[in-house]
Amino acid sequence: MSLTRRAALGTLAAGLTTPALPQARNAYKLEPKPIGPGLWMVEGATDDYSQQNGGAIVNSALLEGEAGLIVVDTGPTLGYGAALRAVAETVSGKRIAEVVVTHHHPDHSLGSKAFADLPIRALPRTRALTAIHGPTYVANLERVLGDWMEGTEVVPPDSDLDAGRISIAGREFQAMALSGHTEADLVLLDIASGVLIAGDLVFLNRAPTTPDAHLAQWHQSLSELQALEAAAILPGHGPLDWTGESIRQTRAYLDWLEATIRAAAAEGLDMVEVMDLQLPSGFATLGAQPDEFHRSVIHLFPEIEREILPRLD
Amino acid sequence: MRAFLAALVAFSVAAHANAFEGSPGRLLGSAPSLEWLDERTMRVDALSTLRNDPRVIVRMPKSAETPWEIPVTVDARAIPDVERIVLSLDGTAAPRILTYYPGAAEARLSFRFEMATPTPVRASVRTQDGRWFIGGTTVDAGRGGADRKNTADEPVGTVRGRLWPESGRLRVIVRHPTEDAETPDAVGSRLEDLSLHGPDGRLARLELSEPVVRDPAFTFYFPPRSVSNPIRLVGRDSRGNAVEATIPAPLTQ
Repeated sequence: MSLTRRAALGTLAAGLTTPALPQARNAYKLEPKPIGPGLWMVEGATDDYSQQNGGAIVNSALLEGEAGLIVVDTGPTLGYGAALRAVAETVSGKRIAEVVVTHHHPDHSLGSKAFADLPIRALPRTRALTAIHGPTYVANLERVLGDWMEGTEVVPPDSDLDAGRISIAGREFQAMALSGHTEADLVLLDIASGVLIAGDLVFLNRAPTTPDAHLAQWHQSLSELQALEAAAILPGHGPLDWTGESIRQTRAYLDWLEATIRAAAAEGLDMVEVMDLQLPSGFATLGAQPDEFHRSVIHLFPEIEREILPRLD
Repeated sequence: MRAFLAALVAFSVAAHANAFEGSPGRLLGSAPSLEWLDERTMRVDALSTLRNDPRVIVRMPKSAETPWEIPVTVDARAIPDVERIVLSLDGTAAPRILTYYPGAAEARLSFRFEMATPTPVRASVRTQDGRWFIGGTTVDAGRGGADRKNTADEPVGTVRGRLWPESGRLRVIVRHPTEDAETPDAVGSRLEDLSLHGPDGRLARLELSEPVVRDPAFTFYFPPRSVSNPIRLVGRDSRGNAVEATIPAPLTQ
């Protein structure tokens, strides 16, 4: 097949048949890795978005249900979504039946246009947040990723996913509606494998991101996840975790982050000065550091500082 | 023409200075034409003496993550006898962010400002003898999408702050809304003038322009142990509302 990239995208946009992989220089090489019975992960880089990785910095999951394949998180661009769709339909021979988005952040949801002809499910608040923030994400990522973003548009999830014991495409899950990383963080415990698909409540060997973080709620959510004692944890970013280290590491990092910012605010430091602080070696080596720490200072410092500085009347 | 402009400028600067002497906290915005000429002054009389200088350090994060509160630290301590520091944005219709007269403080300031589109940020430092030294930096667009945290529960004009006498740091945040109607009776206004006063007079002064909008926050740096409480903060917004606070003596130190 010798479709041009534009022609491939045109086919895709029309919602016809299985979309072809974009044939241009910006091709994603996605390799599903089996991690359980009827369960695959597509592992992303632990770096920040870049022209080199095309924004493929996220973990997607593929699960085989009786009624077809389930895709969890559609990735950062239309090109990624199309590549994911193409490779997903090779893993078991089944067609994709349903798509799930864990939360509204662009690295997890902007590939949804490649699945626009399928049911895309998410927590109700995630659907709203995608519609609100999606256009800004697209504009900003076009600046960062350039051509990789070609054809990418916001396609908010079109149906609700409710918490509790649910069946998706004939596969059983315990669905949890949590929060802390964002206002609505969906977590799926796959009953057949015992694998926890944790979304971005859990990171491993990659610095957690905090643009919409509520730290107290995030801690509460981590406690609930820890109590599940899952067989393995698929973090939103980083390798599959068999030991629970991802939850411990995420919690330790968030604790350190908050304590560091509080201490800095109590000494009268401004944000640029806080960014100059040395990271402890265990956190300096996480993916995307120190840039992610710098972003978190911007996200978290103003509110924490307001709590700490005395009000003068 | 040049001579005429220079004369006009000299006059306006004198008038400008007079407007402030003896009346700390007076509104700069009450004389918009002088304000405009002040910006002209920077360009016209700078021509022969203006130079880029690595001693003017402007530091910002790599990306403009939250465009409505971008942090910046400017540091010109390596240049002696700094009279003022003008922070400006390249390529915008209203380039000035603020002018800082450090007075008794060090030639160093940290604050936050709003920048809708990433553009180079420049610091122009004027010394007492009238020479200008320029430095600057650039910033990328952020990833975007973070929400503005709502701080509307505090009344407009609320000041939070503290002095750390040992290090000489003084940090203040003034609650002030943006134009997004979260506080209708303050829509369109912004803080224009802010100064610090000790028992012996004015310590430092800021003139603020459009990019310093929402909840302005500043760290002033005085020489260690050079100032003590109480310090009075006096400011005014573009509607003439006064902002006043006293940074009290610390309870324990």
